[in-house]
Amino acid sequence: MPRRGMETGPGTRRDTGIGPHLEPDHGRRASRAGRVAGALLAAGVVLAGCTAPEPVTPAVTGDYTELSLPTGTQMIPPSGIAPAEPPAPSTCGALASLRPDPPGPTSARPPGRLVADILARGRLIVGVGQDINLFSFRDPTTDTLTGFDVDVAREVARDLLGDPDKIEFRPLTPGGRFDALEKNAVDIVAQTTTITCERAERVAFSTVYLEAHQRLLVPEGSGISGPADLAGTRVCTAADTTSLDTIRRVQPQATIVAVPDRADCLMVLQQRQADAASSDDTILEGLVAQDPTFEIVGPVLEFEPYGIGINKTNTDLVRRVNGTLERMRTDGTWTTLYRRWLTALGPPPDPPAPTYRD
Amino acid sequence: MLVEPESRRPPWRDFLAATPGRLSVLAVVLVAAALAAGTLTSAVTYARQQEIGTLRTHSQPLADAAQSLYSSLSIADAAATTSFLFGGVEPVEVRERYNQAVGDASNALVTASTGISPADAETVGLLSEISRRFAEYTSLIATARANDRSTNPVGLTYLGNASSMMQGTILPLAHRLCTEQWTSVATTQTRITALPVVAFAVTTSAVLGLVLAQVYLARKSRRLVNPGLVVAALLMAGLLVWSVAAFAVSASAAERARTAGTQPLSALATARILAQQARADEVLGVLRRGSDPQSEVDFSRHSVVLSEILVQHRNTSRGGVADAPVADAATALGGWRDTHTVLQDRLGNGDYPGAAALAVGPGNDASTARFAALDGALRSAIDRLRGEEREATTEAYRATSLLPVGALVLGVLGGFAVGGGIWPRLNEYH
Repeated sequence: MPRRGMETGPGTRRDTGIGPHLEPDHGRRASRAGRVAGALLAAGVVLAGCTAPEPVTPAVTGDYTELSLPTGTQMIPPSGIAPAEPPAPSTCGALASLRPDPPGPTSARPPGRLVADILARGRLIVGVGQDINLFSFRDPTTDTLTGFDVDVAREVARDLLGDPDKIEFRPLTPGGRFDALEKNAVDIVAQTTTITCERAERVAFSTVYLEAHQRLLVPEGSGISGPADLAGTRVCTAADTTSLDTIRRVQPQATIVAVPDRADCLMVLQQRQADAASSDDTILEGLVAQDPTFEIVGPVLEFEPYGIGINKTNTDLVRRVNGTLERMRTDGTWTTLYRRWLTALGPPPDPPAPTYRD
Repeated sequence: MLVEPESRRPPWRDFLAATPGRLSVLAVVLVAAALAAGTLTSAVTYARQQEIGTLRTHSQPLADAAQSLYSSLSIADAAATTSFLFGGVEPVEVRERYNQAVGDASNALVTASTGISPADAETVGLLSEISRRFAEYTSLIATARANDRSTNPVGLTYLGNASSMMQGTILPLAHRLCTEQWTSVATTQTRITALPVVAFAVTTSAVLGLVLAQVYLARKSRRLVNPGLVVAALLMAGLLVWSVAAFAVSASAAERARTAGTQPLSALATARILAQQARADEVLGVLRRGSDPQSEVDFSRHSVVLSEILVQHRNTSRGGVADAPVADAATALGGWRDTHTVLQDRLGNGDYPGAAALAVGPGNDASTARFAALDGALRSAIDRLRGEEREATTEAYRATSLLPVGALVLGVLGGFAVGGGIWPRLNEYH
C-alpha cells in the first residue's frame, strides 16, 4: 500500500498521528539500533494499515410504501390522446342473433356436429368468470360455484341435456375466454361478456340476456364524481375488457392499472394501489356488497349488452341457447334469477327484448 | 543472485572461504529451513482449519437453512391453497400445518441470515427480499381468510394473488439462495480436498538439507554423528509424516463429505423441492377445475424430473445411508402418480367434487397421504445425508486440529536443535 494512500485514507488517520514521532529531530544523535527499531515500527504501522478491516454488512433500504400488484398487472401510462370510439354493437348488427327453433317436440333437424358432441359427452362445459360476486363465484360455505351467470348456464344445460347439473365450469380470465371458445375448450362462455362489433367477428353471441352500464367505483368521500376527476389518478380495470377501452377514451390523462381479473380491482382498491375502479354496474355492485366503504359514482360511461359467447361455427348451439333465453323471458325464470342475485341494482326490469336475424 | 563486482574482494568472500563462516551460514540456513517448514505447515493448516470451520459453522448451516426455508415456504403455500378446497372453515390440521410452516420459514430465515458473510451484499439482498415478500404473503393469506369467513368471494382473489406471489417470486428467490449455497459448499469442499504440496515440499527440503548437512559435517570433522542435526532431522521427518497423514485423512474425509454427503444431498433437496412444486401444481389444477392446462403440464414435468433423480440416486449410491428412504420415496412417488392419474380422469369427466376429494381428502389412497409419504421419505433421506456430511466434515476438521500448534512447536524445536548441534562446532574455532 502506498504511503500517500495511508495519509489520505480515513480509516488510517490514527496511524499518521504516530508518524511524526517516528522521525524526530534527534535523528543525527540516534543510535543505529534506534533507527532499526523505528523502521520496524514504521513497517508495522504500514502493515497494520494494509490489513483491511472486516467489511460492514450493507443495510438494505428501499421504498416499501406500496405493496406488490397482482401478478400479471400492467400499468398503462396516460396516453393523452383519446382513441376513436368503436362502433356501437347495434350499428353493425352484432346484437341480432339466430332465431331459435320453435318450442315443442324437437324438430326433424338433426343436431349440429358440435351439439352432438355435447350430447354424447353428457355435460355442458361452461367458461365462467373467476370470483365475480353475484355472477360466478365460489360459495365459501359449500365450495360450489353460484351466481347469475352460473344459473343461466344451468338453464341452458337443463334444456339441452335435461338436467341443470350436467354441467362443468371452467374459470377463465377475461383475456382467455375467446381463445377458449375458438379452441372449443368450452362450449359456451357465460361471463358478463359485452357484445361488441369487434368480438362478434371472432365468436357468435346469443341474444342479449342482461343490460349493464359501465360506471366508477371509488372510496367514500374521495371527491371523484365523474370521469373528469380521473385525470392524473390511477384507475383499475381488468385487461381485455371493454371497460378498459372506455376509460382510455373518456379520460386519456388517467394511468390505468390493468389487472388480469375483474375481482382483482377490489383488492387493488383495498390496498390503495388505485384511486378508482371502473367496470359494469353489475360487477361493481358485487364489489360494494363485499366492502361497503366504496361507492358507485358518476354517469353511465358505456352501455354494456351481455351475450353468451359460442364458437362461431356452432350455429345450432346458438339457436338452442337463444331458445333457452326465450323460455326464461317468458316463463319468469329470468325475473326469478334477477331477484335472486341482482336486487342491489334495483327492482327487476323487463327482460331485454331479443333481436333476431334468422 | 548477488551482483559481484570483479575489481575488489568484498569481506564476505573471506568470511565464506573459512570454515567458521561456512558453518555459520549453514546454521542460519538450516534454522531458517526448520522454522519455515514449521510456520508454513502451521499457517497452511490454520488456513485450512479456518476454511473447514467456516464450512461447518456457516456454509453448511446456511445451505441447510436455505433448503428448509424453501420447503417451509412451499408447505405453507400448499396448506393455504388446500384450506380453500374445503367448504366452510378448513380442518384444524391444515391450519396447524400452515402455522407450523410459517414458523419454520421464519426460523430458517434467521438461521440463514446468521450464516452469510457480512460482505455478501447479494445474499443479504436476497434474504431481505424473501423476508419482505413473505410478510406481505402472510398478510394476504390472513385477508383471504377473513374474507372467506365473511363469505366474500374476494377472499379467493387474495388467495390466488398470494399464491402466485409465492410461486412466481418468493420460491424462485429461495431456490436461487439454495443453488448459490450448494455451489458455495461444493466449491469449498473441492478446495479442502487439495493437499498442501508447497508445505510438504518445504518440509521435505528441510529434512534433506539436514541430512546433507549431517554428511557435510561428518566429512569435515571426525565425529560421525551430530546429535543436534539428527534430532532436528527427526523432528522435521516427524512433522512431514504427521502433516502428510493428517492432510490425507482430512482430505479423504472432505471427499467423503462431498461425494457421500453434499452431492446426493443437493440432488435429494432438489427432489424434495420438485415434489412440493408438483403438489402445488396438483392442488392449483383442482382449484382451477381443470381450466388451466399449464398446471397439469407442470405436474408431469416436475414429477418426471423427480423420478429421474431418485433413479439416479439408486444407480450411483450403493450402500449409502439414504438408500432405504430413497427406495421408500420411489414407492410413494409411484403411488402418488397413480392417484394423480385417477384424479385427472375425474377432472376430465367433470367430476369436480370427486377430484377435490382425491386431492385433499383423507384416506391412504388420496393424494394428501401419498404426498406426505413421499415428502417424509425424502426428508428422512436428507436428514441422514446431512448427518453423514456433518460427521465427515467434523472428521476433516479434527484430523488437522493439533497440527497448527504442533507444526510451530516442531519447527522451533528443530531450529533450536540445529543451533544446539552447530554451536559447539563453531566454538571449536575460537
